[in-house]
Amino acid sequence: MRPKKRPVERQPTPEPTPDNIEADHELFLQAFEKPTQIYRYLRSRHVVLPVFLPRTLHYMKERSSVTNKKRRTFKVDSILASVAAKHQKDHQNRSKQDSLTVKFNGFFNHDVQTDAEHADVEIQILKNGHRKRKSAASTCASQISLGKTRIPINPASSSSSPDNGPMITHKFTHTNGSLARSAGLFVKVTCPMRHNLPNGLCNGDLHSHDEPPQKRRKNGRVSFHEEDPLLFGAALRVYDRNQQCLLGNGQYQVVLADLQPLEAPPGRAASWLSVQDTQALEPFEVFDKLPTIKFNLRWDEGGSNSLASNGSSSPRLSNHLSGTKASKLREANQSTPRKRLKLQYVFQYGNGELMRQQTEVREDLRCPWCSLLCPTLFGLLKHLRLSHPRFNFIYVPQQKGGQIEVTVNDMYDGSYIGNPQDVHSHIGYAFSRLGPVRRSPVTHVIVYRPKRPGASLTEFLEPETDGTINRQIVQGHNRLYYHTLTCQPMRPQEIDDDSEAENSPPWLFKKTVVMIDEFTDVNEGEKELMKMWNLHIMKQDYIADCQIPKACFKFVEEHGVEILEKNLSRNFLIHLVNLFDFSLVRPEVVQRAFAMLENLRDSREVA
Amino acid sequence: MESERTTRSGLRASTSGTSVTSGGSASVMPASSVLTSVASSIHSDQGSEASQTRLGPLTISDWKKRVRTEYMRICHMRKYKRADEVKNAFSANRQHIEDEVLKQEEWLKGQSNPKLIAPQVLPNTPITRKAEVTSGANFPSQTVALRVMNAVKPTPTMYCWAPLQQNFMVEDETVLHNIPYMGDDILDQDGTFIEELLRNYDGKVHGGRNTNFISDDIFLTLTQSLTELYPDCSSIKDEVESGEESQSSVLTTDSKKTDIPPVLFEAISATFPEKGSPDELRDKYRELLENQLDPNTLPPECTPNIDGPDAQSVPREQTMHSFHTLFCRRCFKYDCFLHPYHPTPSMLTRKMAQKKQESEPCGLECFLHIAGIEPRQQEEPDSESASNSPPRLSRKLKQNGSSHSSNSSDDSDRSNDATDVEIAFPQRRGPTNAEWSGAEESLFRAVSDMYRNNYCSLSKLIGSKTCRQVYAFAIKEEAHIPDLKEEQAQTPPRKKKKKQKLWSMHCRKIQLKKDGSANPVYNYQPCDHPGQRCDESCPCIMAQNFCEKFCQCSSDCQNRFPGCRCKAQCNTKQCPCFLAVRECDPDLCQTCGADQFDTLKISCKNVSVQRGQRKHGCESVATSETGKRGKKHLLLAPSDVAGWGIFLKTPAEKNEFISEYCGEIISQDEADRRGKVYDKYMCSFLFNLNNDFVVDATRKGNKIRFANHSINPNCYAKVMMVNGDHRIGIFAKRPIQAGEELFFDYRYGPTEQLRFVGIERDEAAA
Repeated sequence: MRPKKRPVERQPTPEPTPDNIEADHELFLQAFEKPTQIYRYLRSRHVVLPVFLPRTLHYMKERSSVTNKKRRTFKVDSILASVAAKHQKDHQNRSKQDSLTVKFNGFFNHDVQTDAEHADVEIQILKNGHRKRKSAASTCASQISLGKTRIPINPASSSSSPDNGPMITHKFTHTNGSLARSAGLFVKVTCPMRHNLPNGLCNGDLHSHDEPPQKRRKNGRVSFHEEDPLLFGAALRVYDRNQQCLLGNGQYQVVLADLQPLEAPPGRAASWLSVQDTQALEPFEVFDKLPTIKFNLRWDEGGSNSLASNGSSSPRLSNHLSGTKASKLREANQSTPRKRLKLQYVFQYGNGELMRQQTEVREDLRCPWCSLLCPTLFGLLKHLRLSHPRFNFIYVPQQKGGQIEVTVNDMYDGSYIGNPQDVHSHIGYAFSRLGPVRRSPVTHVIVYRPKRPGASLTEFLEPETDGTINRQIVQGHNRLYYHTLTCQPMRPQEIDDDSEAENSPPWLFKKTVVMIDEFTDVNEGEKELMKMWNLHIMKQDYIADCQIPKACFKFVEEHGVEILEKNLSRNFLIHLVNLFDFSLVRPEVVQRAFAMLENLRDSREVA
Repeated sequence: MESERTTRSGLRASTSGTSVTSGGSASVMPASSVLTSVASSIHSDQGSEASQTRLGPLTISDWKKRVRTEYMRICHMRKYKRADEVKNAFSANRQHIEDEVLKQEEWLKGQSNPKLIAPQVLPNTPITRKAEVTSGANFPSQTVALRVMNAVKPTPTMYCWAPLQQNFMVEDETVLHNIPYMGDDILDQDGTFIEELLRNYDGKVHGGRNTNFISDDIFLTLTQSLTELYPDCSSIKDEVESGEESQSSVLTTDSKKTDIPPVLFEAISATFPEKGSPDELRDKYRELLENQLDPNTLPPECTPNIDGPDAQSVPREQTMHSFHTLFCRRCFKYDCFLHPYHPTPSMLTRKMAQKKQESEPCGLECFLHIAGIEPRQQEEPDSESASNSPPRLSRKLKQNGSSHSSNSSDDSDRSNDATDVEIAFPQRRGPTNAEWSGAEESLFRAVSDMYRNNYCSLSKLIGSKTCRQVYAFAIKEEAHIPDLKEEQAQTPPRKKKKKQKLWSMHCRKIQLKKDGSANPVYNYQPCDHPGQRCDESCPCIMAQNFCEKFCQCSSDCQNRFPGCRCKAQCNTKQCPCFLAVRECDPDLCQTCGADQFDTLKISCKNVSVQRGQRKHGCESVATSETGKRGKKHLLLAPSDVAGWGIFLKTPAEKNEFISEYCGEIISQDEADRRGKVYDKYMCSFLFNLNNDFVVDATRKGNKIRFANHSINPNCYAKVMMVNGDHRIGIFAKRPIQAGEELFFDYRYGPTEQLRFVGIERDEAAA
């Protein structure tokens, strides 16, 4: 699967000497090894810890097993109606009391030799309440024993008559239907052991069955200790979640599995496990090799509705192992029509003028890097472009299938565009004992539904444009900011104060004072007033001539007391006359401003 | 009197550049004070040495030796003193920083701030490494899990800079501040670079060791300490120069201190030959001593404080001199940071009082009660008062008319034009002194220009004299008052009609100017050529600049920019201001709202640079709208490209103002010298302002200095004429989202070579 392992097909090289090939291969590795390794690493990480399901992607719709057709027409109001309809149906079902009759033909186990003729069989009914997914760990399944009976072990097929056999009947009611949605029959066979059991049989058993090794060991131990009888069991589902009867009338032969005395609960902790690809026996061999039980099943009153729809009354083979098989078959069926498709990957590499290429032909729509099976060619190309941006992909249509040119993307920007809080843990912290805490705002794209053009392969004929490469999906302040002057990280609480909010930094105030003080031939009174006025102008940021009268009044308002205390009022008047000389103010302004000061002096003297 | 009278003590140039230290919170170091008296108690140990040398015959070479050692000692003293000062300033800075840190911590405490938590190592992560200690002596081996601490990316280097929100002009540096350190290898490899650099500064490096340097203070201290240290010199003087003694005693009449034996000056002169002959030294010493004797006396050219006890009666020019020379009409400040040259006011265009003399007497002491005043009033020069209508009535009408017309012509004063409301001075209490003090006389001369014959107003301003007294004094002074009306007659006001034509002509001129875009842009300097129209010889016209409101020419000068009359946003080329790459002037453009300082009322969008930095502090605190028209809040973070970068906090629309590029304004020559070093560092904050000046944000600047260069930028820079100054505005080139890094194109022209950002230079080379 790795590109580097691929057979090398060379196109324009004149003489494929081994040296040449090797050098060529070197170059190939140089170009493609690193990104390929990265993508393979990501792939295996995704298998263990998936971030998302591919089927949720718009170009992978076909992978989704659930059609969303109903969503289009769905209305919230319709929920009540549908529930009501269902309820009605339940009521109808409830009126019919189904009585289930199971007649046992016998227990068949050719491997286990017992001297006992009868085995105990017990039928339990398993009711699973599907409350919530969360509570799946703690099973809410209830087991009710329907009855016990003895059945013959390995009876001759002729001798077994359906009528005479032991029989258990049970009346199904839907009284607790609200809790227990699905019901299953659990057949438990207890087979007493013969006392001197030859070991060899057990060993043979070990080899012939392809069971998990753990089971094997335990199985062996049980037989060695000879204390407990062998326990077999099988579960059959009667009603599924939707209250549909799956079990029709008919004769059943059920393969029994070994039951451990301490069996793990049926609902395990949810985890991602890959299904083990157990190369099982041939479908029908199973019934010969493994212990089975045969019984007749009959619904007595008003058989289930689903029976008719299923339309098959033949004995049903319910096989645990067939589950995986079936799905595999389905997959195979799906991919068969595209078997003729040929996809040619052309890996182009080399430096500058000398471009080289290697090709590889694939016949399926799996991604060569993450082996994701894409449903369509469009999906595959879209996946390649979006999930493997370290490469450039260009699609060249051909008669059969197509050609995908792969080059290394030199423009790839691997910078981090995630949440800065994931990197700098201390800048944002949501929970504090002292109350709510401000965090740096981060934008996540949760739902992104742009207007997409229809799926067409033409978009892959040309290389990606800059705009699509540099798309910045996560926007906002996705980084840690620093204080300008101290270079210290900025906390989320501090983000709102702008260090430049003030027009004049403090040092500038000091500077102007120092500069005025440096004059040798300016007298003290003038200096004091000039400093005061400069600081006033700098604080208030006056910019226009027309503001100066206001500035004068404000100056008296704010510094009037200081002027009086420092005995600068004549200097202030001179300053006002100076402004008049520079044609900034009218004499009225001078008079008014000075009057303000005099009034202030007056009020101070009175007080 | 020359306008250059106002001078600084010599240390200013050297301190201006270095006084700012890091952190922006620095206190400015005190200018190194003059060492007037070196502690004389230290001399005792050297006295013994002196007594030893007394025995032998003292030649000039012995004196030279003495001078030399004494000089060295003084130099050392000064050095120590200087070091102490530096230490004190440093510790003061530290203290300040610590206070700030404390304040910050206090603030953070109040912010319900989470504690910093160390990133938790996931408990499930397998421990891959262990450290084990085993010992051979039967002790159990001890193990501990090793946890890997991931490397933390260091922040990019930042050199110290001082924050600044407006440009700051600095003088050319004649000495190299320091020899730049760029790592050992560069110094080793590229010695020629340093040599070249030194050549730019004529080999002068700041703080270089000039062995023979002797300043006036050192000279003074040296002479004094030598006299005290070697009392034997007087005897020597007796022996050697008995003949001259009488002469010198005649010269040094005043005190014993000046009684310095000439041999001492000879010795000093021999040691420091460049300081002149012994006689010159002696004269200099006397001069210095006189200055030093009374530190309280001001230099002769300094006017005494008018509020002080020593106030004298001086002419108006002298009273106003400091104010006139130091005031910057463009910054409204005294001794501003930006304009080194402040022209004195022309006084020709002063705004005269809108209100004429009140006809009613202001009180019992009013001069109007003096007989014969009434006809005098009618004589008052007024071009419009030619009619012979009854005086009182006509005056009233005139009053209305004149105030009305002035309102329409000068809208800016309207807000504070509540002239109808009487300006109320407090009631004068107590009798006034009939004697005129010096301060009062000076004050009268200063004020009298404003209200020619309005003695009521004048007496209110002077305060301590009655109307009548002022009148009497004015009669006495009359001869001194220059006749203003004659000067005004020289420039007759223009007719109103012409203005329209003038304006359209201007617009055409702007168009023409715009076409020749290759023309260099020169710095604006207000022109000052009294009595002459702005013609080919006017510096504004020569530099192809408009005359501004700061020019000394009349307000209807042909070359004045007329401002715009837009009623829209002034962001298209329809607006003559926008077309001329100028911001709207609040004093010229009055229809677009540029004169509105309430941010909510402005429709004009062409005022962002001048307003950008404003906190809208004056009257209207528009809290909700504060961020809208003002400068954007910028955030600093490591760049995605190189070094530091600057990021936008809130989104910006296209063409929206982001920030002004501020820094030190330096001359082109200085920029060339500095640029040599910056190029070597591969980091430059130089920005061409116009043909004469460059903005350098290296030492002082604002946050936008961290914006990186890009050939595909999201911002653009525009040098605009903003109220007479060229300033650099950074604007959004396209809509920018919050959190985006800001870039603009550094290149001066599209063909200019990329020089600074490594990545793109390499790209361009490839």
